[in-house]
Amino acid sequence: MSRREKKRHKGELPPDRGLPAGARVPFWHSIRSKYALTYLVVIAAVICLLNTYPLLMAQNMVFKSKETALKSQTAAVASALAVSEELTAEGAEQAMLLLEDLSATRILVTNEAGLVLYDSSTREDNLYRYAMLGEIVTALRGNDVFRSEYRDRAFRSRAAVPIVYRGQTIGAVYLYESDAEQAQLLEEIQGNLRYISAVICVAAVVLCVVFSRALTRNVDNLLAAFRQVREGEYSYRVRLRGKDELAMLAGEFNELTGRLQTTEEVRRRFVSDASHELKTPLASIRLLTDSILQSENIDMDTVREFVSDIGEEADRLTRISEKLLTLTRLDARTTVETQRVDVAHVIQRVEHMLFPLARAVEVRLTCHLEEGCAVLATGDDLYQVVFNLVENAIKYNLPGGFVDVKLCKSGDTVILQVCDSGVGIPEDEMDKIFDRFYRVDKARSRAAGGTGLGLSIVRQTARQHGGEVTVARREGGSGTVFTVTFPAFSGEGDAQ
Amino acid sequence: MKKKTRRLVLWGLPILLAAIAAAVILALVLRPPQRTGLLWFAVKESEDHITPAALGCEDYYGALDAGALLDALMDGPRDPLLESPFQGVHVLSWELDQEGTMTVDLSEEYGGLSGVDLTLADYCITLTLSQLPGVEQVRTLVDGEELPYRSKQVFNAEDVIFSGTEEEPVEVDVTLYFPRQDGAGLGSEGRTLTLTEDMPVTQGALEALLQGPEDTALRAAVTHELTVLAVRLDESSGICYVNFSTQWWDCVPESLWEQRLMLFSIVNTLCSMDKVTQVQLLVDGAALDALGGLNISGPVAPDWTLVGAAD
Repeated sequence: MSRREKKRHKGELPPDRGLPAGARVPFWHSIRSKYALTYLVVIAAVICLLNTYPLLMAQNMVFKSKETALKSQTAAVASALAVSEELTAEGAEQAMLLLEDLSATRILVTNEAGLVLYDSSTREDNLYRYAMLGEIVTALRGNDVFRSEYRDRAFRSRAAVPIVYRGQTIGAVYLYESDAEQAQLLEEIQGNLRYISAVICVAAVVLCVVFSRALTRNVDNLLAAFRQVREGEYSYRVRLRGKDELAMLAGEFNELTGRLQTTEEVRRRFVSDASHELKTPLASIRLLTDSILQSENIDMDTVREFVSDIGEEADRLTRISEKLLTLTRLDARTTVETQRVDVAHVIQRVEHMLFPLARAVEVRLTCHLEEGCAVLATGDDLYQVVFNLVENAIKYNLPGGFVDVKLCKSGDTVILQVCDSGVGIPEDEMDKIFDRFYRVDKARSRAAGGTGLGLSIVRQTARQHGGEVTVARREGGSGTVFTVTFPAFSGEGDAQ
Repeated sequence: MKKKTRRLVLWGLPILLAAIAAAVILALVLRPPQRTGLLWFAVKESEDHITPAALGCEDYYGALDAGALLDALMDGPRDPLLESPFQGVHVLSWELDQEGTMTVDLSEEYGGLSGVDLTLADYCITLTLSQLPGVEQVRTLVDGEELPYRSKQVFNAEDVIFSGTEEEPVEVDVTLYFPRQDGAGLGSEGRTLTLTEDMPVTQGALEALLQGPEDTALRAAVTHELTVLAVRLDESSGICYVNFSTQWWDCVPESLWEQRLMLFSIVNTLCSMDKVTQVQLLVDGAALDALGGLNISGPVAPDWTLVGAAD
């Protein structure tokens, strides 16, 4: 956690809410500016390097070449002068006259005490003056000297060597060279590099604007798409060219929007269906009460019959409301507090509860339960699943039929199977029966008190607990087989 | 509020004045001593870089007399960049004569110095003592005797070169020769040129000549733009080689007399300098055939007969 985040966590800083939806991104915070800045910083760094390193290298190369040349010349002069024990002005002049092609701007020759015996300078007469130059003193002490610098548009180099005769230092030679030509060359190179750098800078700025715009255009398109969808335009799809991450993001966005659209349509349909289902019993109640109220000479038996029908419709409303509530709770629940549930025990409770109903409609209810089938679930939810399946199997059955409940374990899966000899479900409607309010036979369902929500609850509950429900036609006769699978739980815990 | 302001002024003003007075007194008391002179020493050699000058100085605050200066010299420098060339040396006596020569007698340790170290020591003493009024030159003795192996015994402050001075401009007096306005011959004009070592005097003088005269009685030797590519003096022969650009052909006048005046403006100007006896003209490296009716394929000597009376 960064320092700012820690401070926010402690409450020392206000929470970072980011930009409000729809707000304009400040210029210096936008991806385009950041990209452009990064690009320009890199280019600037390269240009700085381009304008410094090659010139420094070139300067060093010139210094090295100057050092070689001057040292060679000083050595040649020293060698020409080292012909006797003592250096004189005349001897120095004679020796210098014989030397040609010296590139030095100035040559000084001194004796061992630093007295000038020869000076090529035409500006002043330094003969028999003492040259207390740093280079000459160092050379008279026996060391070769060279130094060069680039200053005032010229390479200014100085070299000095001792004149040694038979191991004795008899004097020193000092050479000074001022080279403006090399300096001019260097300046031309520098000028060209600057010109090239300027062109590169301009090109970089232009390209930077173009590339950043191209890069962020897709981001802007995505942002616009988000805003459209946020306004409720779930049918909006964004089209991005390319195969980069942004194109992938666009693809995911379209997928998400498609699901949002589907969900929205399902929600609308559900609300429409729910409102229709609720309106229907209310309309019946309204009709029945109006009939009672508007009939003047209505007999009591008829009234009783009408009131009984009103009661049934009210019960139906109650059942629909309860099941809607259950579904809503299932929809809203993100975490399920589960525990070890013995499925056989739940089935036995359901059997006990529905046995009277089965007997009343002359349907035989049998259970074949395997021991040790435990799942990690909520007891009430599992009861609801079993109850809905067995109740449907009984209600949509024929007199003399049967409902067979089997429970077994296969590997890591607990399998619950409810098989009935009822009216069956057509093949083309098998995948729709789990949809909310879907009924194969509306009339029969209504007569049986059905709401059209039972199987939706079964599927949603099974999925929430890691299971799945499937439906198939019963082999060898009419009827249906519902199979619910759950992951088996083998751990310890209090069974419900 | 008014009362507060009055109180502030009443108390604050005296305090402020007292603070100012204290600051002035402190400044007077703690002011740095006034420099009376300079002490010269040798510059320490460094492994990292070579200093331009071998002699350096530091401020001196003592009495400006020979004894005090010499004592301070023998004590050595305070500046860590300087070093004393007088290790173990002490002054025996010193005397200034009427000719302005200061004679300094030093102990025998001074005789142990030789070569450039001796020169450095001699000039440290010379430059330091030359600050004294009446001191023109300095002689150093060792135990009352001159050092026989030393080529000079008397030293002058003007006889030392401290640094290369190649880049320092030096004023050089030259004489330039221009054609006279009446066309009768050449006239001379003295000019002081400020030159660095990069620009030889010959080249400097030639460039000044091409710029034209300041004297209204004279006119330009070359009327068009002309570039000097190179000037080289062969000291052995005394011939100065001058290489002009091809702009030369635009500058050559039609009249033979004018050509001759132009030629000897250049030749006489250069030959008025030391060591130059003749001038060889080249254009783009190639020798010229003739100019002003004269054969100039070889070096040309000056013609002083063309120079008229002084302006």
